[in-house]
Amino acid sequence: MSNGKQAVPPSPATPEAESPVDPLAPDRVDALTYRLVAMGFILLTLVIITGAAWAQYTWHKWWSWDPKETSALVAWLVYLVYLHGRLLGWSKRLLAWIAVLGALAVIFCYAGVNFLGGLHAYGAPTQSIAEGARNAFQGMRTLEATLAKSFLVFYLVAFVLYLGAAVFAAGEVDPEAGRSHKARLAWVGAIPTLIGFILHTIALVNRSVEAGHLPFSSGYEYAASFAWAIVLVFLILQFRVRTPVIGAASLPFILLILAYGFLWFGDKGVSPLPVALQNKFWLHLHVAIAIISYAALILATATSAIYLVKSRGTPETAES
Amino acid sequence: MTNEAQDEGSLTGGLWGLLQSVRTTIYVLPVLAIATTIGAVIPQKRPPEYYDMAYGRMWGGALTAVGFDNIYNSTWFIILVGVLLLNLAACVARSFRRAARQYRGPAPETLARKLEGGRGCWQANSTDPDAKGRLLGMLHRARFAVTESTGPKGQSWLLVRRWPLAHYAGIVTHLAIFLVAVGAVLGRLPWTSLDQRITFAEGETFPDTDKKLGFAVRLDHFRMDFYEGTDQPSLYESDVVLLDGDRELSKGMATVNRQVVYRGVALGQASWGLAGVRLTVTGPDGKTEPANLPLTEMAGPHGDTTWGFEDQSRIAMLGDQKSALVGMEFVPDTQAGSTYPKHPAVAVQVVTGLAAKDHQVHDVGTVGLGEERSAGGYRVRFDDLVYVSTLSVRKDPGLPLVWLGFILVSLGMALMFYVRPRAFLVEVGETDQSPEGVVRVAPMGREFAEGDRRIIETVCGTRLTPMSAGGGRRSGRRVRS
Repeated sequence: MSNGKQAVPPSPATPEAESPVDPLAPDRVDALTYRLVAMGFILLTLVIITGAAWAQYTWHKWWSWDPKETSALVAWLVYLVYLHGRLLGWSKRLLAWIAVLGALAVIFCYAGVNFLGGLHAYGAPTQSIAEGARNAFQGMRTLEATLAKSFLVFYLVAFVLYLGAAVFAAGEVDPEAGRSHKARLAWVGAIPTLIGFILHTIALVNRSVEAGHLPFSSGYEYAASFAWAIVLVFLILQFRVRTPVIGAASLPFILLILAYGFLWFGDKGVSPLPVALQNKFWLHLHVAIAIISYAALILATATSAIYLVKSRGTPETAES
Repeated sequence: MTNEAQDEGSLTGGLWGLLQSVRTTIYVLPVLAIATTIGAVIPQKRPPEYYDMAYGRMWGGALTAVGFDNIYNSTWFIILVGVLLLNLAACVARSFRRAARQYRGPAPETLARKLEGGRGCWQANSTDPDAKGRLLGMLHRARFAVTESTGPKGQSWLLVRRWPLAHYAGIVTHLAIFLVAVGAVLGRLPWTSLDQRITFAEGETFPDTDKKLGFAVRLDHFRMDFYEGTDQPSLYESDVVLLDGDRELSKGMATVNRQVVYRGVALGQASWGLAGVRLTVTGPDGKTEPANLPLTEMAGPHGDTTWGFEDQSRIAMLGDQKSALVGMEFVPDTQAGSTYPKHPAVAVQVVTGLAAKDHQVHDVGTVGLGEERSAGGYRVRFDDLVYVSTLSVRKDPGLPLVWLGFILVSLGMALMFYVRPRAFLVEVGETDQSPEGVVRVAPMGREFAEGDRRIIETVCGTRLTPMSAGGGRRSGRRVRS
């Protein structure tokens, strides 16, 4: 073929590192991270903007330096450093570390703030972990509990399969064989993930119908929705990048967030909305954008981690 | 872009260069991020005793000494933000000329010169004798703007462009952030803005003695409702009347999700509270009189808000001035799991014989809302709770700028990341080797988008190939600061 080079838009790829078959060549992973960060960053900006609009509407002040607002701003600033650093041609390993730092900021914004109080106190944990472990599924109806247990099991199975496949595929030497092998191995984990995702979707739809609004109001609902968004973005990614490695790196985040939701909050069933959350327009818009944004940024961390592993020991390419 | 005009050696030139540099941005941003994190982790604007209690005397003192208790209003934080904004403005100014040039687009001759070098350019031999005509048709259909001209050797030049406005995306985005910042400052300046709270009970008037609001506010009604069986409010709203002396200026209902706005001052429902309990005492003589006991807001056992009696104000003298009603305890009943506010309770005592030395205490016990209990010949009835409404009063002249900035920043970012302005020159000419015509393409910038390449390949019927060894390769850095 005369033009073997793929026009992957934002990647200033170097020819040496570009193997046309390895979906996990460092430069490709880096380009993938960039795309996820770009998408997550734009959405994060919209999260802050819709948050400000909602705050103006309900708290009558668009910015009050509330810990949630502030920590979203911190995450935004970290990704701003990432994007400008990229513009300045910083080393890709450094950028990958910044993306990891960004995800820490996102996680802090999502969960850490719950322990600090402030205006977003609806998210504050409602039980101890031990309590949570004892009665994780007790607040649920039978159908909900069955669905929740099932998708958890499917995700867990998917993770084990992805991990196994990734370790197995890591030994591949021949890039041509490696591609086909890895591509096929990706489906090993993708199928249980997809089944889990469908069950997860049913569970969330069921809850939405019951509550009359999207499941964004309690700590448990928010965690379940957030994890769902990560699975969604991950599955889209999986269809484009067929390797089990991304699954092995992403599933832990999904499982951890679900565990956080179950153990710290537990499902208390449908609870009435606090007055500040009664405006469903802003609730839906703000939180829906937030979970997709966070999902993209969390997955950017997974790809950054892969980049950091894959590029270990190799000399820095072009940029620095 | 370098600043030819500036003398790099001079101090002002150096400072200007520093201000225009993206490197400045990138050093200020992490510092700002760290400062903001500190502010998110350490509760802000609490009284100094709070820090002593929460972090110990030494650390609490240190925190307040360096201003970590009020970071976002500290001078150094404001200076930091100021530097960032100056940097932002300087960067916008610097890149404006470049964006304008890119928006105007290249002259065909400029791109034709690139064809001579061949680097980054593509070519194909067309099998279609009317390559130019078909190209024009397809490019138009693909919504490209095409300018035709003729080169010195009679070749046809098509200057193809799309989304040239997107060259301004970066400038719009950065300018929008600047707008938000200016709006934020306008919304905080003491002489342009207003940010306070007023708390009052039904029937009370906030007098606006310092003339900041420009009107007095009377609370006609305050309604509260709770979700059935919980202490979680489902609604609280205030009917307010804005007054100038006795003249009614405006009236409306302020709720959490709806503000009453008068001349730029917005009144919103911010919070609610309890001001007191209303009781009726019937004495042994059968005389009935009201006795109100004020409640004070207190910190609850779980860091929540609760209400109780304070020592100085727990006594309500009764009409004979010899006896009094004493509030012992107020039970909001939030923990008991019973319905609130239908069953809050007060524990009261009636003290008689105050004038004489031997006063007597009659313990009435706990009286639920709507209940009546008696002791020592006195009957005490718990009639009602007195709610207070807290309204936020805000004037923020910066809001329009903030919203405009938010809209522009969203548009600008979407353009920046997802719309790539494109410009390329297609030269259709004949050579001796290929009488049907050879098509050569010189893209502006380093890349030639795959989609655009396909259009030309469809017309030519063959693939485009890079013109030189370096053709098509993307190399080098994108931006110099």
